[in-house]
Amino acid sequence: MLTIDNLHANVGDTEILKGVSLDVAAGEVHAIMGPNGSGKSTLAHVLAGREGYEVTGGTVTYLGQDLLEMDPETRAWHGLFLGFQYPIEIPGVNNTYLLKAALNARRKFNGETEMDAVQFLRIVKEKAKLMHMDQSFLNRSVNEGFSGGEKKRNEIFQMAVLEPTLAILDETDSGLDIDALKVVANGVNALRGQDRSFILVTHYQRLLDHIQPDHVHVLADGRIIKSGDKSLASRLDAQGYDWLLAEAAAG
Amino acid sequence: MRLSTEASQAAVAAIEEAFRSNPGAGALPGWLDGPRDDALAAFVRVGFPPPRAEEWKYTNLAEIIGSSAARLNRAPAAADPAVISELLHRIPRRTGDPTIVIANGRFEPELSNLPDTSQGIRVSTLSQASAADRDRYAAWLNEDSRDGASPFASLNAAFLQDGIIVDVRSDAQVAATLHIVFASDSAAAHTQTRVLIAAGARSSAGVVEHHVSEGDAWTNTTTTIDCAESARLTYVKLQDESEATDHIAAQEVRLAANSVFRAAHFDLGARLARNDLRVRLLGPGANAQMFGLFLADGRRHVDNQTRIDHEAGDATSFEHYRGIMNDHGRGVFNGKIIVHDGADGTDAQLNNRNLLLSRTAEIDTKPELEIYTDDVKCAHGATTGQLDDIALFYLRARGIPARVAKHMLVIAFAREILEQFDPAASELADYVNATLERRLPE
Repeated sequence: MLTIDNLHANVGDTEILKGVSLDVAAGEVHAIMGPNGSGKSTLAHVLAGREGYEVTGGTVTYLGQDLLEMDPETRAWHGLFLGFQYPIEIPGVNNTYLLKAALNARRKFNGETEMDAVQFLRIVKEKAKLMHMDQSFLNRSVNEGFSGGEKKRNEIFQMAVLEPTLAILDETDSGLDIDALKVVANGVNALRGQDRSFILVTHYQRLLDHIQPDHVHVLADGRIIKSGDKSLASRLDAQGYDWLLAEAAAG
Repeated sequence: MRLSTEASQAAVAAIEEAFRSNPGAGALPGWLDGPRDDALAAFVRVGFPPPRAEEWKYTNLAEIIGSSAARLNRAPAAADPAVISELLHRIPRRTGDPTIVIANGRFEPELSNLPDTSQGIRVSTLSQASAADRDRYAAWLNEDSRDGASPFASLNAAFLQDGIIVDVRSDAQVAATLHIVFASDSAAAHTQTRVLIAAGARSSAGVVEHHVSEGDAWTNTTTTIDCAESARLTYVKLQDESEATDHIAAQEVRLAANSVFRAAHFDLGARLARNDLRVRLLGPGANAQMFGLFLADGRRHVDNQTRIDHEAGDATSFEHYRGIMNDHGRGVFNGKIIVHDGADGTDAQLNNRNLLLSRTAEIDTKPELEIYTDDVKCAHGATTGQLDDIALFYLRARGIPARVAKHMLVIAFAREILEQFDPAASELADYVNATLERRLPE
């Protein structure tokens, strides 16, 4: 589904990604872990097409197409979703309105007719229930006045409505209490399927207790220095990153 | 290019000349001659504002002054009914709302739908004023001949075409909003009209002033609003004139004790639009809430001057204006609050936020506070920014095309004003949104 090959990227004049390679097959869940400043969030934003992140080398192939050639909305229409670490408050833009516009833009791109209001509302209500979200949230401005946990829940709710092919969740677990974490994890688990893949960017193993990853990668200083199965996450949780960093430095 | 002092003086002399032959004055009754003569004398004494006058320093009047005498020398011809009909069609209002239409400065009874007087609201025109009302109206016109009157207000009184007087009876609760529509086409040459709204004690009413035009025109209009004790008045001014129209407008609002004045100013059109809003809180417990939204795109120039005088204590004012500038548009916001000596217990808040959508757009914003007493609560602030990049990316990452995402954010910026003013004013909101949608960049 996704092949990242030797990806290099700068933010401003600083090189952040220094040759990242990663293969994500359909239906897989990959966790990308790593210490602060290792480039995890940069990778997520580069994949979603954020301006100001300059790709200086390497390729990203998504569903057989050059992902880096697409603008952010085209990536979304091809089923890519980025869950933000810090979801943006947009006063004056209604949550449901945003989702309807997003969904219909994708349908238009795919040559489908626009979804009617009844059909749309049914989907929205069903997904809100999945995320234990109060109906009143739907008619509020996007994330405005939401608590940290509500914002994250709203991200997963949006993901559930948009039903992406590849979801990249950037530190979705940060700032969540255990109950909110479970709701978020349940939301993700409910969407797992053989045609849908996930990249979970996380600092801690905590989220991975609730969402079982197929692969765990450690990103440090802009490179993936170690890959393994979920036992790698447990080892990182018990021993920290230092042993790995030392190993990488020696190797 | 700024106009030289000599050219400005020559224009005043030519206007004096034009007044003598004033080709438009024939339609007005003779009792207005005295006040009109006085107004002209007041205008001639003061002349046009010099280029460096503080209140005018961001607005270049050269074109208006340069063409003023020639315009005032032309008798406004009747408007093309097809044009007026088209302009009226665009006006946001609810079916059945009473509507007064003034086309090229003349009241059009055929196009108007007068309010039901049993509701306690009465509309009359200055040109048809009964003998009993004349002294009051003459006194109103004379206000614009006093020292310190704006030269444009004096000019308006001197070259007056007609005025609309709205009287709301004490205790009347008027449900339907009254619309006053000033429509003009290029045959107008100029329009000099005025509105007087007198809201009786404990009454409640809503008035919307619309200004629309087609082609080349010059609108010079003034509005006086008197709210008696505990009156509640909602006032909207919606200016969406053609790109070839110059629009000069002023409102003076006087608020008695415990009256509530809620206003919204929408300046969306014209080539040059200048609006002076002055609100005087004259009685304790008076409450003024003023909202504004202006759009300066293309080569438009929109200048908002607001001045709030807290002359009595325990009164409250809240002001929130937002500006959207694009292309080579230029916006000006000057918000002055004066808390007079003895106005203890004043609560005044002023906020101006601006959005610049292009590198060549400009805004000059200046909140000003003058406080002459101790026990006050005042806050003011102004911010100017661009569209939020990260919000734009967030929307695009959800699949909203870039152009749509930009429009969403601009409309959201404007919506906050509409919602704070009146969340139920859906016709107004639809009109503003559609205007923004049409005029925003591709």
